[in-house]
Amino acid sequence: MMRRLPFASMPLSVALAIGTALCWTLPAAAQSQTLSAPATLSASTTVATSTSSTTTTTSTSALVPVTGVVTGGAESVSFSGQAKVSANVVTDPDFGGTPTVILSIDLSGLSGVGASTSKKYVTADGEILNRRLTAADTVQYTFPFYLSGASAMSARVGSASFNLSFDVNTLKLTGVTGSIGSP
Amino acid sequence: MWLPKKSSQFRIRQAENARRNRHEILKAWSQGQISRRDLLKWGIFTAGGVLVAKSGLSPFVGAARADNIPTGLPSSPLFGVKDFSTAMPRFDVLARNPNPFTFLNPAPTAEANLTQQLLNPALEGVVAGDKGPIEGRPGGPIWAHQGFTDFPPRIAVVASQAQATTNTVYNPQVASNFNSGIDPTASIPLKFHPGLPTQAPNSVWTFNGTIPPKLVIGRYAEPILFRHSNKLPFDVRQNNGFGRHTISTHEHNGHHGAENDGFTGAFFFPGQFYDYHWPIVLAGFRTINTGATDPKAATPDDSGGKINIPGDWRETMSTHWFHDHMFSFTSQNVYKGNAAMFNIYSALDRGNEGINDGVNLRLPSGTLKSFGNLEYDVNLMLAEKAWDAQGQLAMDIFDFDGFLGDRMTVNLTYKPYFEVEARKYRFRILNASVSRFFKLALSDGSTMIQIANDGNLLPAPVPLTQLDEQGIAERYDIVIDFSRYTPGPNTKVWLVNLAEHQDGKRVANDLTLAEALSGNSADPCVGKFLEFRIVRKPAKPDVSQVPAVMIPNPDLSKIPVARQRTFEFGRGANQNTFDPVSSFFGPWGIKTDDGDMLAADFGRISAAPKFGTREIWTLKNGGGGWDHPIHIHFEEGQVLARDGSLSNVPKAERGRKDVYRLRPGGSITITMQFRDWGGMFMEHCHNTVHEDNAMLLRWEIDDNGAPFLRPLPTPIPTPQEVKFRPPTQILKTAF
Repeated sequence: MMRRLPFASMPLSVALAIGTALCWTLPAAAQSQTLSAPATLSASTTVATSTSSTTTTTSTSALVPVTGVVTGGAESVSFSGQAKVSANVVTDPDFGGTPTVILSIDLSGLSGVGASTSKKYVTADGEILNRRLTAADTVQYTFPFYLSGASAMSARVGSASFNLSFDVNTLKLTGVTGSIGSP
Repeated sequence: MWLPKKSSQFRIRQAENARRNRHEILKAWSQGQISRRDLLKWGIFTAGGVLVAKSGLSPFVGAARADNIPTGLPSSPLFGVKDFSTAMPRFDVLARNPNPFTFLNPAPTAEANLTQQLLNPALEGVVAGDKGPIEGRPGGPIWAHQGFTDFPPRIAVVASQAQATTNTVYNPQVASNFNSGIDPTASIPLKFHPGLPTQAPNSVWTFNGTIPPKLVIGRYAEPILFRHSNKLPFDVRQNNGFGRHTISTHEHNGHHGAENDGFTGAFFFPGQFYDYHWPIVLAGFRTINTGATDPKAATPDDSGGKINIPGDWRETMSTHWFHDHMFSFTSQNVYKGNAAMFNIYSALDRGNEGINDGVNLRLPSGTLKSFGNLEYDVNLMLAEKAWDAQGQLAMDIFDFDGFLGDRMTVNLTYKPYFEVEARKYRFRILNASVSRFFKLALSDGSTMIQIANDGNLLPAPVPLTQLDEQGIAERYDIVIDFSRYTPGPNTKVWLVNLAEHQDGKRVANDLTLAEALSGNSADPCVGKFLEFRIVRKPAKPDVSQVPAVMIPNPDLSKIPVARQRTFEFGRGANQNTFDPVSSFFGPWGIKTDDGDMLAADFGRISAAPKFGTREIWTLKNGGGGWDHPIHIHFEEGQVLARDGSLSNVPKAERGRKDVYRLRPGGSITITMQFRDWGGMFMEHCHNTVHEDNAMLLRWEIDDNGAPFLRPLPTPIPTPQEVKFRPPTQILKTAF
């Protein structure tokens, strides 16, 4: 099984590698970030204490009026309704890294109407993204939609765009606008 | 983390020197000359598992003459190879040999075959004249194959773990025109691209020592005896710097006895084989549909029909894989090539799209054979690699948080292309990386239909333009309908990775498609990695389907919940047991039921659900700076909630699963039944660097001693024999 050799028995190549490394002693660049404790307004904050640290998750959600038209395909489709945007901002006190935004965008509150047939179109599942926290962020992605009651295989694709604002101190989502268009 | 493309020669030299220094440490570590505790004691690693911040060692510290710019990692050289310049080979299908009892020599046995052989003295702990068993499975009745009489093996599949060599017997099981024109009779040297160097024998260790990666074809009620021979070098130092020559083969997602699960402590040595018995039964076969009257609980026969079998058809499984699970060396061994896939066919998921019998779901596959057609059913193994200046596969250590390569491979081929027809295809996508998560999209943002998550078809197909993040070991089966493209020489669409990593702890940023395609990411594995060339229309009409209803989840709501448990995955673990073989120290650990955060010990029993019961487990991420894909062996779970709510669970995650991404700071609640088979199993992070650095625990089935022992003794393998010891610890909440 694994032999545990004393330091003196360390292979020469390893000793050389370590020796080479230890000769140069520049300190690592410090990476630390202090985040103020988030206040609880419309957002909610949960605190998880692990063995080594205290991680906070600040959750904010918003209903965002969204409209737009997807052209092409069998007919143009006009979408309107409210998108639900949820942002969970999770801190990283263990490594002092930039907080992660777990961003969830649910378009199921939107309905589409066909320009020619007036038939109803629905969207599929929401989108979940892990984004690095910044004061302003834009996410753009395509989303599938299809005639209500039709097969998922018949899905067409639209484009959704959301502009998000965050308070990087309170870790809350402070503003969001969205639109729908053609990809 | 990686050096920018326009780095100075000085900086590249510094990075290469530091990489070589790390390589020497990893080499000595992998060969057993030093231990992790030595590295901590000498100050090479911090207690938190981070390589000490020294120039000439850490990639995050600059050299004195480089203005303190972090050295970074040297890029793997491409030797002039261009992206998408070679064809992606399909998997190499392992032969299915009928009648294992006459085909195999020696014939398989219920208990381990302890026939003695002379041992090679190059093995550690062996002196000339020592003898040991030919089979590495622990001996005696505890590790005998459960159900060996009731489910005798009918198919033998044979493979060796072996040094890299040329493949002269490639069997893709499809004609060349379905394999991008690859001639299966041509020899295939072990290269990640025809323009890259051939791998040295000890650089890569794959099944049979060859590429493409291997595929096992199985079907329900046709038990397989998988004989895995260890033909790796006897001398542990012959590993080209990483990888351990002892192995344990985990049939990932398998529902069978623990003796066939690839328990981390049931490893076997070069010169031995291990017989794994995969009965391939529907879960619940002992209590549900025992008379085999349900027409959906069935397996394909050889003439287009089906045969009813006992069990719950809602437990039907489809896409498995198998890989090494050697204690504390899993990441090195899997990265080195110990990874393969296993397609399981059933009456529902027939692998024949033409049979219309009211049960067959007719998913894209083909029609030539009664089951298991692969023409339009393609396995994709995603894994990023790195290689040294000579082009030899290389692994690196700079912390215990994860390992990332910088070159994307699909089916162990660097950024290939794959020719398709203008019709529907099924792709079984496996994330076989060490620490990297993926998030996949098509380059034109068009729709993919996710039909399965992990081993199982979903209750309903989910159309998506971007898949959810895919953690290590997760399988996503998707359907892409290429009929929306007009075939032609320039008709192409690419599979794109959107998940940008900075390190091995978690995804740093899920990029938008435009961001990923911009070429601006510092992560070399972001962007296009597989090119689909839509080359022709199908010769026959596409009769495949993606039904609106596939396999609904079993309804467990009426089964009482016997127990609830919590497991928190975090850092700062304590090592409270010190068995030199079974316990391990590392920064990562698991806290069970609000107890201590403990480092791994496969001799410790952390949980022991009662046989035949249902439990609810909550898996919690102990921090926000990392993610963990948690794998629970043996029993599949249904996700009840994310962060406390079912509404947070995406539709594509609402089937049965065996790997659960926690997300940073997140939690996931699942429910499972414990039935059919017994023994000791595991739960661990499938970021295998985390797993190897102590984020692993053992749980076992408790049947009050009838027929399974309580508690089970721990196997301790040596070349001469597998010894047994009492558990090192039983947590007070385990039983």
